[in-house]
Amino acid sequence: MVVSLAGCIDTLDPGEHGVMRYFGEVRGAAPLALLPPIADRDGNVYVLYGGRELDTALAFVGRAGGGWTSGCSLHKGDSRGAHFWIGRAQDRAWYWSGDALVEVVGATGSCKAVLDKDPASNTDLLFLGVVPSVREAPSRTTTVAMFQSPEDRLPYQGVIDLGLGRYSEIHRFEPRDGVEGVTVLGTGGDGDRGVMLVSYLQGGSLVVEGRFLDAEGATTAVAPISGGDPLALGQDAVLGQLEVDDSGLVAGLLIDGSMVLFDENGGSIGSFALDMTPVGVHRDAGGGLWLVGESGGPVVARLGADGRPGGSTSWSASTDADAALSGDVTVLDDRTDPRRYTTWHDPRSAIGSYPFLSAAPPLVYAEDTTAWLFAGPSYSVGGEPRTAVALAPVGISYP
Amino acid sequence: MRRLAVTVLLLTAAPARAEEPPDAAKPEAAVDARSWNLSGYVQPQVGMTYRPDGLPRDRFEVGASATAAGIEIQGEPWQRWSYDVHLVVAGESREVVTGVEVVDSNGDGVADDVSTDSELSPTLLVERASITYQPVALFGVVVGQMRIPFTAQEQSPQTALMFPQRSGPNEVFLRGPDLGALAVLSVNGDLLRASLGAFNGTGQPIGESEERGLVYSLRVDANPLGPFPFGEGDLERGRLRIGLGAGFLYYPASVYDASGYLGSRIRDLRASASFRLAARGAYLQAEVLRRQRTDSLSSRPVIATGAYAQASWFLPVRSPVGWAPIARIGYAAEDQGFAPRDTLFLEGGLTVYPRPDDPDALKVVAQYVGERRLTEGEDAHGAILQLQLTW
Repeated sequence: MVVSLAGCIDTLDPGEHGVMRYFGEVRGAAPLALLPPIADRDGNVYVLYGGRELDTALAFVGRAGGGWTSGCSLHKGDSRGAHFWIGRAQDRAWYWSGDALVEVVGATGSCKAVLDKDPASNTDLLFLGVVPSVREAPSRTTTVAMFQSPEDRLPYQGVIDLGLGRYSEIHRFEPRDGVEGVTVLGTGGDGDRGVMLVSYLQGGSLVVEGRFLDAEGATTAVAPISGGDPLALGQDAVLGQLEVDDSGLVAGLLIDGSMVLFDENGGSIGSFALDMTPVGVHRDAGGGLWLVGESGGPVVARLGADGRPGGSTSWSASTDADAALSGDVTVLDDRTDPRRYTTWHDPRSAIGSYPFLSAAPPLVYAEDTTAWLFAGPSYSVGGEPRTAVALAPVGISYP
Repeated sequence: MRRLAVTVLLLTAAPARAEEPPDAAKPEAAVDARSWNLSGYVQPQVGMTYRPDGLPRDRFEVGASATAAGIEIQGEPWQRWSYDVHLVVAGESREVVTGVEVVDSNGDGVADDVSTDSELSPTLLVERASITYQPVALFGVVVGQMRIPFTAQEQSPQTALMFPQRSGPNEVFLRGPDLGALAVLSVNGDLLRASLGAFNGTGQPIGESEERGLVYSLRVDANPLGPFPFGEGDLERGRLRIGLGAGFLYYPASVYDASGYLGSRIRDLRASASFRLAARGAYLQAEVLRRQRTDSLSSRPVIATGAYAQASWFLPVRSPVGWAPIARIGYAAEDQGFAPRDTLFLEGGLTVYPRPDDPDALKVVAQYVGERRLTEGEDAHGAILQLQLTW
């Protein structure tokens, strides 16, 4: 018992990477339109190729014991791209791309759209917003979303049973009178509660609100948002996700470089003098919020109790992870059996300029470890670049 | 099952025989006299489960569970050689897929889903099928299918468990029998008992899994105040006995890919420590368990920790009916290397012995089972009434 409790486990230090697994080639050159990967409880890993500028998505699945599958390209709509992985369960994960919510199975790599059509009317269902949190419980596996069919004047929000592919506990958007053009600017959550930043027209005025949702899909608080230029903020204006800290403060980086900060009582959109080029807002394992960006290298700035970013400091975990990529790096190619090793020279982060530097936050792969993507050799097909990409677990920490 | 306890202690019961001279030319009649011994048990069970957070369909369930019956054949056909076969039959307990149909909901020729038909069917489980060779009183070897003696509870006979089932934490760390061999050392009438074994680790015959390796087991039990069988209770209302034990499992294995080449290597280490105490009808048992599994591919360890404590008090032997209040609390933390999932188990109840002079023969257990999923915030409450008759 003493021997077991004493350790025998090698964990990755911040910036240290584990086995790099080459899973395929994607269009473009680094930084690529890829989203931070997610892992399920069984250890399968999921990669999503897509971005806000692309009206397509492609999922790759790495099985826990080795081997990859790809081919799942479910996406809906041409006005918005892939958002992010919303969560995982024992052996599967779900992504939100365009207006589609898609389930991907780890063991087989197969995928299917969740509630692609309304079971009652058989009309298309469009997921305007999905809270990035999957509640996996013995009773059922659920998330909370706002959705609408083309015939609906106003959207509904409620619980999506991801196992059954059904909605329940639905609530029509409130207020209803004179409201039109409900738009989801961004979503977020901390596992216990979800948040959505929404805008709508009421009596000719544009209203922006932060809405807090519980696990049953009910709105628990509505925070009026002031400031900024709401007319310039359209659908998916939040880069990545809204992040919620332990005190209930919500922060998000907007596409125009400003930030939205609110709690249940209200909030505002504003800009701050920054000594960095911001990329996104992340939440660390302790519940603290960080503005991440670039300033001659990867930097982070902790958000204070009021949400204002402090002074930026070098992000050593990102710097170390980047430094570990110099020279020849051994990469496991386990796309097909038998698996073999190859060598990449000077690979680089496939997402952002440096490791972990992304609008959507790095997701938990293991304790103090995330899964990150690395770009290898590129080649051209008909003048279009293609880049080999690998996934590796990397130790992560915030200063 | 009364005689199963005898089987578990076979090695300690052997000294007198071990001192006899080798007898290869034993008379035929003598061989027959101890070549087999049949015993068994039946365990009908009814239960109720209430899940306040479940879907309406799953919220409340009541009815009879699958009745389990066990048959055990033991014998010593030749001196120093004995066998033990324990079969468990459970009625309507395994779901078998009987039909598969592809679903094409939009008629585009592409399968959208798969629909299956299934039926429940009886199962026959081999709980134990082993041969023991006991060359000397101190030492023996057991080969075959058996439960790995990793925890104290894994060494308890099915019919001598305090509750109808083993504790939740125990089932998280090891479940079911495995195939392998065990060398057992028993010192001074079980004052110290140690076993060293090697098992397949998968519960399956070799060649049935992509994992190739052996589980090495080590278990040490010290009973400083005298022999202390693993039956969970003090039905003898005897003097003070104490048992201290520790178990280790080490599973280094190679995982091969579909083409037959090495994929990754895994290392699985499990450890347990146990404390048991019995005196005058009171019985206390507590165990702590830990598992760490790493592999050469993922950099993601599988870590789990668990513990439980259970107690009973058998009262009194001479009245027409014996009875024993029973209680157990358990805790299991799974997936600690990724997203911890914590579960609290609370159980309590009463065991009635209609024949207190022979308590193992017949007993009725009425039990409350509570499972609190701390991480998910969901509870389940159940009640079980189990009748056990051994013969």
